[in-house]
Amino acid sequence: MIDRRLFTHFDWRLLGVVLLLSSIGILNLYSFTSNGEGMGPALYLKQMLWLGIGLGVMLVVAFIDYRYYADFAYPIFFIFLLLLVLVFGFGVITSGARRWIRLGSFSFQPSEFMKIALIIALAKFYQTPPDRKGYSLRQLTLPFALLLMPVILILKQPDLGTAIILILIFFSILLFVKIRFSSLLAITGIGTLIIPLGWSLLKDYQKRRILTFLNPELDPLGAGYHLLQSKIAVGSGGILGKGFMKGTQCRLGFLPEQHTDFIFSALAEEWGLVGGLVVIGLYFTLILWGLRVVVQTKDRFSAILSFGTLSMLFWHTFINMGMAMGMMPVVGIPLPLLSYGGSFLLSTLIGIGLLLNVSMRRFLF
Amino acid sequence: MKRRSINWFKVRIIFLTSLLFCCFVLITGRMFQLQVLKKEQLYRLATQQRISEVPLLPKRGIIYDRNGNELAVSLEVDSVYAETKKVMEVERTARELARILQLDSKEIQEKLRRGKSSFEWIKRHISPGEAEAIKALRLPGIQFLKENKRFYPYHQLAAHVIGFVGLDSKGLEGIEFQYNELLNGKPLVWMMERDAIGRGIFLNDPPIEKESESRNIILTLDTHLQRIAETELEQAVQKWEARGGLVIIMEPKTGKILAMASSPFFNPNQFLNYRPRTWKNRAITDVFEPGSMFKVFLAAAALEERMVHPSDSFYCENGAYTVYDRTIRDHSPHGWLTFKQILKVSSNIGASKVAEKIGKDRFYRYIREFGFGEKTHVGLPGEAKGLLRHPRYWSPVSLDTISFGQGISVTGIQLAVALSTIANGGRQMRPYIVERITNEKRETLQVFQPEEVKRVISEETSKTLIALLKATTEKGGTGEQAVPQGYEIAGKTGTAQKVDPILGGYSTEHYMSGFMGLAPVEDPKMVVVVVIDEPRGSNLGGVVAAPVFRSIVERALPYLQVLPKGIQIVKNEFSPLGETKEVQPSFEKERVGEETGRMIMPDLTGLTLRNALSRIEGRGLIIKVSGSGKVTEQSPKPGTLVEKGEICYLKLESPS
Repeated sequence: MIDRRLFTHFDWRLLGVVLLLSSIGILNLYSFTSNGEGMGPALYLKQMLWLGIGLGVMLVVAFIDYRYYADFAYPIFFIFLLLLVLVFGFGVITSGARRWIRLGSFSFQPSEFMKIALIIALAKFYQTPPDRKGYSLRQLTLPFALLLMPVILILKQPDLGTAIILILIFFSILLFVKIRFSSLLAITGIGTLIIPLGWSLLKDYQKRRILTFLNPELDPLGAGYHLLQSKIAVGSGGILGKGFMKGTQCRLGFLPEQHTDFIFSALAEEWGLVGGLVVIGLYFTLILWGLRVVVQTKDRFSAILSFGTLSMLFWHTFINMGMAMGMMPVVGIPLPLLSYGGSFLLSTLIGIGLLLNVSMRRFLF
Repeated sequence: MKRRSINWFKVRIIFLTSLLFCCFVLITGRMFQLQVLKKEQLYRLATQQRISEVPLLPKRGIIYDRNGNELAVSLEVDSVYAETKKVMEVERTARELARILQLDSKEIQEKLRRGKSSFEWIKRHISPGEAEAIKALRLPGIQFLKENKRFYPYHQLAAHVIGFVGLDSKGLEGIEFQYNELLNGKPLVWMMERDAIGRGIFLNDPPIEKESESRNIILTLDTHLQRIAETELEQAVQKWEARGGLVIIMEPKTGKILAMASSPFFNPNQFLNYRPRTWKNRAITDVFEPGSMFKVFLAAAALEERMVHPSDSFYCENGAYTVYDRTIRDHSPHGWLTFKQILKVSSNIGASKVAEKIGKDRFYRYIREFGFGEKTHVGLPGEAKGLLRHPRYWSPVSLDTISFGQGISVTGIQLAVALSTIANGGRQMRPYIVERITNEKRETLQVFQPEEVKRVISEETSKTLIALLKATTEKGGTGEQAVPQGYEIAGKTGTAQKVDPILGGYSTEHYMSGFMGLAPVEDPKMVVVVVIDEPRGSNLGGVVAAPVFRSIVERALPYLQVLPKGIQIVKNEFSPLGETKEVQPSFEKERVGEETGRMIMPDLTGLTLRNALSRIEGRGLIIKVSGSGKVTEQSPKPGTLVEKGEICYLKLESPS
């Protein structure tokens, strides 16, 4: 199964960028969470452990021929769907949301892995090319079902951020494969109708966040506080930043969720515009490199698989940074490889594994 | 993939790549906007929410008189504040604090609950008793900080010159205002960093006083002379039921202001209990018509220009002289008078004739030369310029009326400077009141030296003029009552009708009586200006103000080592100067012996309170004591002449 050629075609550059970003992530976490006030082992140590596990899993994912994933696409999807259901029975509640399943001393978040499962399932579905005009609305029933089942479950947890990512991945892929123009119109139409309905399904705090984004002055001490604090942290960093372990806003807790959702603000505070640009540059390189992988694919499954993964990375990065800079509503979407969180890191690295997988098999068939 | 879809595929990839690029440009642009364009604003916001500054009262510099007596000092007092996060029972704490400090319980509660900053002042400058009572309760979160409070050991003495200080060490009047930054030094700020939930950490220990770089100021004032000026002024104001008055003592050779008194007085320790108008330093802010005193400067101009000789005669029109629409009158009618006599009897008509001879442009030039119409820049805030119009705007009678001090307004300090010029042989010295600036180790940083501004008249003219002014104080002159026993002086009286502020024109009831003079004539050591505002009973400068001059000179000259003629000198045990122990005039000794309630301050240092009190009790002194143990400091200094009703401070410390 493991061909020698796999090593010659192994995408070292992709791996290099990923390792660089992960290291920056650990360093960054160390910088402002090691002030000795936390309980238990420091966050950066936990994250290092997750990174080790994640890199191992990534290699395993990379070396298993992706055609096996196509074979098991639906079973994988349903296993994770089942786990999402189980969350409601056995989930652990943390800060008002039931998202985690505890396994011994580990707890993990099925919704994170659902993103990968959805990408594989959609790749499997779209593997069969449509007719000349593209997919019709009726043909798209199954993909929509594949999307809606997990999205509803995840919104129930509630976890708006992950649900949004699933939806964005789904529509990215939908636009990537060819669909009929009439279908596109119909989907847009239905979508416009659904928005008010979706609004009514949102929790109050989620509604407030979106409203506050549209008008931050609405609530300067509540939801608007996050936005303002993030801007203050970023802005006060200036061009060169305050320096390693010297960020006042992140270290003194003014910056909320500084180790997950607002990690980029913390980084921008300590390393300034210069550091921020370096990190942005690395993400840009990563995604551009991913697009190269997509272009070089030889079959529909691997093209959609790699494109789906890439869209996941892109949306996470773009929304998170936009949010940190006050350009987007505050929805809990972490930054790949930098934000703290085991499940998220693992799912990101599995995604990278898929990219590596596709990349090194581009000449094999 | 099929050829057709590959074309589509390429288009999509190119589209995606450019979309991607746009997204990253957007993010980068936003970063630039926040971190470069809006950096200052956001950085300030960050600092604002993170850093609380607790301003601390620095130990303000001391103001001394020229002999080293402390006129203004800073004492450590307790101020109570709350670290609001540590306060346990808000209601009880507020109730107890309100009870002890006599504050409103609700207001305290609000402060404790505010939580905006974890530092809240409860009350500044509390008494030791209050501090003890609060400390005894051991209220959590209630803390004390030593702050400095301004204290004026001599109370009302020289209060108008020194001024006073508000909360937060801000000088509000006088020297305290003028030299506020110098006295305060660098502001002391205690920085506190807070985290998001308001837990504060002081970034450092409270700042140390030494860092404040506060400066001490040594004035040219002499406490002893100042006291003489004030007591004599106050006596006259009371005797004549006057609205107030001013006295300036200046050293003509140097321009040093030795005393500057204004009445009514106020106590700067409780300045808020006095009406703001009493805070005015009338010696530099009051503008009045000098009346006949101004004839001195007319005479100076006439003599210097050699247009009039002291023995030249002028016809004084038998008491009424009409110029255009106005009739000038003399106090008593005169026929022919010499120039010397004109000054001696203070004839307005005579002065008018002299002025007419000089002409308005020449007269105006001398008035300006002497310093009228502009500030003397003595170094105190609020100095007035007076009112002197250019001859262009003079009415046809202005020349005549200005010659006897009507139609021109001056300040006391201007008169003092102008007469000092004459006393100093025609050389005008810049008046000054700050002699030296020292640092906290009392090392001199800056000394202000006497500074000659210009020569106004010749030595010869000044000698002639002084002789003429001496004549006014001799028998038959208006200044007869100004002559102290055993001294020869020169000076000029003045009485001016006050301008009615409502009706305009001159008031028939309200007068201003003045006398300015120099002493002793042979070598002037002091120039004294006395002005009494609205005396009742008499309005003549020679009756109201001249005796004040006499009393001041009589008491001040012996102190300045100028002894009256014909008085025997004996060796004295105590020295009124404090530092020197040499021959002292028996004059003072006699008076000390004669009058009960006057004594020479003994040295009390090292004595217990009981022993110290036994030495000074029963002399009518008001004794104020601070601390416990043995006397380490006292005020007034040993050897100083003290009077009944004066306040005596004893600072006690127990040997630790």
